[in-house]
Amino acid sequence: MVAIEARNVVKAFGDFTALNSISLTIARGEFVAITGKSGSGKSTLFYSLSGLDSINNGTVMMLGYAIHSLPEDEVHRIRNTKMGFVFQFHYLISELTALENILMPAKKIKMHKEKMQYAQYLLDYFDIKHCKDKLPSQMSGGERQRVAVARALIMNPDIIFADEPTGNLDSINSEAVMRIFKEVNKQNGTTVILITHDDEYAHMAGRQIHLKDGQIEYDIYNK
Amino acid sequence: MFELAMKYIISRKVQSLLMLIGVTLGCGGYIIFTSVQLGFQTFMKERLIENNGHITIESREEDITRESMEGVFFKGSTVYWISGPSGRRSNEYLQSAWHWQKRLADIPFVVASTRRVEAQVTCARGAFYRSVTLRGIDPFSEPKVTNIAEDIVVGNMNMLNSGNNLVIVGVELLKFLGGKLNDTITVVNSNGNVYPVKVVGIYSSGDRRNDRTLILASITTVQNILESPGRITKIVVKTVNADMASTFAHELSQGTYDKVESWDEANINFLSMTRQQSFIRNITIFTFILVVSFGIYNVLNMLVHQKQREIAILRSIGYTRNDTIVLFLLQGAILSVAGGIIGILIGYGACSYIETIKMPGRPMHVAWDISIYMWGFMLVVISALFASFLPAKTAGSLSPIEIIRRTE
Repeated sequence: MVAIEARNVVKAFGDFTALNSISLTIARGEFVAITGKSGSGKSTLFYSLSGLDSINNGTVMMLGYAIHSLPEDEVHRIRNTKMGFVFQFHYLISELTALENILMPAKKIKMHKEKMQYAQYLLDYFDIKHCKDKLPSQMSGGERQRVAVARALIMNPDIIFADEPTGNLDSINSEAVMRIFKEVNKQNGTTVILITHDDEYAHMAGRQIHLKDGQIEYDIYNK
Repeated sequence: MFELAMKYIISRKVQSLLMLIGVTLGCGGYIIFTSVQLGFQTFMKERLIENNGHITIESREEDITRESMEGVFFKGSTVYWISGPSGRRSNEYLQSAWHWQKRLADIPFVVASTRRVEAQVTCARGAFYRSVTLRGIDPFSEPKVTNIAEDIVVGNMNMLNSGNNLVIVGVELLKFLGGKLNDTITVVNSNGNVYPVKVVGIYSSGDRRNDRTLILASITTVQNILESPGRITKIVVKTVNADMASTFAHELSQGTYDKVESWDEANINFLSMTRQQSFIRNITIFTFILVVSFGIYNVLNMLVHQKQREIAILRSIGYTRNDTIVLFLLQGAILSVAGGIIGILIGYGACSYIETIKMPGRPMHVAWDISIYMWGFMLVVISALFASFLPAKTAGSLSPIEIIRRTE
């Protein structure tokens, strides 16, 4: 089963070509790390594959949907139910508690009551139960990022997109977050696409796609 | 979205409070301004109507011109004037008063009508004398048309019918003459004939000019003093709607040579004054609302700017452009509805207080029309929603990826 299939994806910003005819296939349940130096195009590939950004040429099929050709409402529905995003910055809503932040995707489709138990479970699972009623400003950086991961998981997405989720964390919290991704991938079979510049974390993924100058330099499966 | 909008409002206490105060002042200010001004205008209108009814029917006065004299002399011949005719032609008395009253009785929009006979006379007591208006009224039908009876503070209108040469005098005039109730004063007509009359009542309208220069008597008494038995100078009409008086007057004037004039036509200066007042009020309120709207716009615009990252994440977890628009519109709506309700309460309280303030003669007049409150509320809510729409639209048009790129 294919999670993402990209064919000849081109993304340019004016004269600068950030992605130069990239093709790749990611199977369901894979844990893929996209690596590369700054400006190699890894973030652009991440945004293009997730449908957050448009592409100039090529096609991206995600879970069977041509994500760039769908109407906006449909894209939002897919983002809500089938995708989870974690960014370098936690992007939690500062006025909401940890629990309310986690339940935000479920609120969109008025499923927050049904998801309440699962949200409590995630808080417990990520060891942030004590943060349940805390605002982001009352939590540590690691706790906020774990809340952000829990929010990404609340709808049981098929794919998690994580853009340098450990970029702002210390080593202990970084390892905790990476462990969570690994467990979610293993236990739930969720496809994880991780952007990182850290080789150690890239090796934790089953597969590493390395970019250079907007092209895939190598695509390897880790042992 | 409602819950999140409420959390945004509560978390930004100072900004939200400022917006709320702005909307409250806008709504309350509109209500107070409008109520007081309309109250004053209504009071003025009532004063004008209560003395002279909605419509008056009088003998027509006319300038004498070459055209108006055509056919008067040398019928069938061409008249060349060496010096054109001039002057005014009038008849002091209404020629067909009885015909008018008969006609008016059958017209549906006429509630009641009454006859009057009026003239300028001199009133004297001892060495004091003053030129006054002597008004002959029908004590039975006058109260059905005007409110003069309510201004009689001593005695009552029916006393005018209890004998000849009985009068009700304005309080200021009686003071000037140094007289009191049951005293006799003298009235001198235009022929110089003197008639003693007895003061059987005193009235006080609050209008000093009236109270200084008006004497009320029965029609018969006035006809006797003027030495014009059976003559009537004016018919005063009350209609079903004072605001339509000019239309009714136009209808009545069809097929008659008499002058039929509505209260607003007769008081054109009053109308232009009220229009000017309303114009100034509208400009003031517009400026007020504009300032409030700018305030709301600024606060929400800043909020959209501050919340860009959160807007980005909302969009990435499935919230649409419309959801973000609704999020910011809701904040404007919640604050404007809350401010509008508080504004209504403040407006109501302030108007209740203003009504108790004693002005010389009588308390302040305030209009208690529910439509003023509805308009005040709607005006601020619509303005606030409009002011919220632009920042909300900006929020909706933000691209999540652009925000993420900028902040990383």
